[in-house]
Amino acid sequence: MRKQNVPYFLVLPCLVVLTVVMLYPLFTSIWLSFTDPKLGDPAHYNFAWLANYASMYEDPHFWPIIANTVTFTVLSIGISFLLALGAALLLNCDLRGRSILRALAFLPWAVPPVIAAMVFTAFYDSDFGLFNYVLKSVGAISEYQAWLADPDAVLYVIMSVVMWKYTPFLLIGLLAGLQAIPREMYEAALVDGASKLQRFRYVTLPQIRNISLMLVTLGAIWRFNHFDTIWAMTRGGPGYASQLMGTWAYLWLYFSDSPGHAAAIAVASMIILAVPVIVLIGKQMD
Amino acid sequence: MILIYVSFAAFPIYWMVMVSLKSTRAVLTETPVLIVLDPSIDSYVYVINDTKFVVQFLNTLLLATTTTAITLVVASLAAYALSRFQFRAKRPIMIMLLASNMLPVVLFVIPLLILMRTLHLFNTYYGLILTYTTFTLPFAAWMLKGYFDAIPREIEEAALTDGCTNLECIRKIVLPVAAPGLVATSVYSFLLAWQDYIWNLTLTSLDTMRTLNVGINSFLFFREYQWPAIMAYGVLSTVPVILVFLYLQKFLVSGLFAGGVKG
Repeated sequence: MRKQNVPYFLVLPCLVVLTVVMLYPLFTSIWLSFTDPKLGDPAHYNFAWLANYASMYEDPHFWPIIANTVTFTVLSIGISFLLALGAALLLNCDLRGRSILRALAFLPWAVPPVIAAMVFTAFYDSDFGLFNYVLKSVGAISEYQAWLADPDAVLYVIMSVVMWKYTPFLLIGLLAGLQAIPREMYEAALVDGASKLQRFRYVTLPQIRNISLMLVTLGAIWRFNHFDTIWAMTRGGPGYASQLMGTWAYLWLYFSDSPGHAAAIAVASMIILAVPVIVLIGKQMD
Repeated sequence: MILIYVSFAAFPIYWMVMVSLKSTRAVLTETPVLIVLDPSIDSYVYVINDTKFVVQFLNTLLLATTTTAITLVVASLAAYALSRFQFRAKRPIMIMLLASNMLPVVLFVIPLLILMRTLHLFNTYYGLILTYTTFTLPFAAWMLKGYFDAIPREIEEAALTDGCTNLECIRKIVLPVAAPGLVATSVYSFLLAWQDYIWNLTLTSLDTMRTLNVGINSFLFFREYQWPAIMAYGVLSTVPVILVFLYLQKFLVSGLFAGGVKG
């Protein structure tokens, strides 16, 4: 009888911590989204039911922000995945110094997002930036542009930073997947007379299907929820041009007095994300 | 071909170092250069002496190491239990671990801010460390479970029949074999804690409690044209993490994908 309780004891500290920092906030957030408290006066919570959600829905920025979030997620994970796949295929061959190259390629992932944000802010700077300098030298633009102040371009600028930082993760994962493919499969295909393209299509792709789906799902989730880089570079601006749902919720928390409204946005973004995620995970169960 | 990709990856860091070495005079010229001709460490001296860098560095270091230590202990206990035992709560716990990674940070920030304020843990290390475990613990437990799963049970069973208790068994047999996994998890934890921005931003208001990431961001916003100084700040903030990472990344790579690579 004693022995059966052992695992519970071991897991207990972990559970305690997780309950405090995860379960409690999760349920509190959901509860908060239905109330209308003032941050400085927690004793008075008025139940506002769906008022927060309604005002969020009616906010003129609602749809643009959702569009931003979806664009950001889909484009950045799509491009990242293609880049990572290409690089992984290249790195899969036996090269000298491969581990050094791999380490260097993985480096952006270790850099704190805020530092990367800073470097790229300088890179895209309107007076000093390397980006402007290169473009002007090549003749692509006539004058230096203020990329981060341009409402049309800013989302893509930030996307480039996020892609720089997180593509390596996909790369390493895909590389691991590629290396797990047994050689015999390629040899068998060769014996059957398959060309390089056919080998890629019928051996490589199916073998990495599972890990690709997992990486893309995880990556998409993380990008949808991304906060640090955007906040550090533009705070969601100019105006609301680079605002995602996560930063919008934070904006409400920080600059207004209603955490209830902020919580509503956060919960809404969680629900919006849940739908495609469940679909994608369902696909992986096959 | 690969070199192009790798140079894209490494370039921003290289550029950061280069700019930080520029003397203040050289910045005013409009043309950026790839190699600095007369490097100067003025910016580094300035950053270390005249800004809040040192405090923030020590804060970040303290928070990262403490969080890693706590996470390691708590996560390995949990991971061992999840790996070696079957119990009813197992499934929901694992789902919880996985799902926590997928929720937006803001969702946790809002209530925890209120909680920390109420418990007077605002502007304290305890509050910060506790919230840091939000993101280090789940993945650490997951990773370590993968590692423990890969260790064959026969080793433990042999030790158990030789007469050592459950706890001894963990200490003498499992831990040494799982050492690479523990290292990988610590590196991951450390990296994540060092990279934090939102928690420190939200849960502190005093300059003395801020970490490097928040510090460099306010530095950037208030001193927009002092690029060498800003870059020096960045270099000094990133060097520790890069060193830790480069030295130990082998473990990390095998650790992250221990259980995930299936055909």
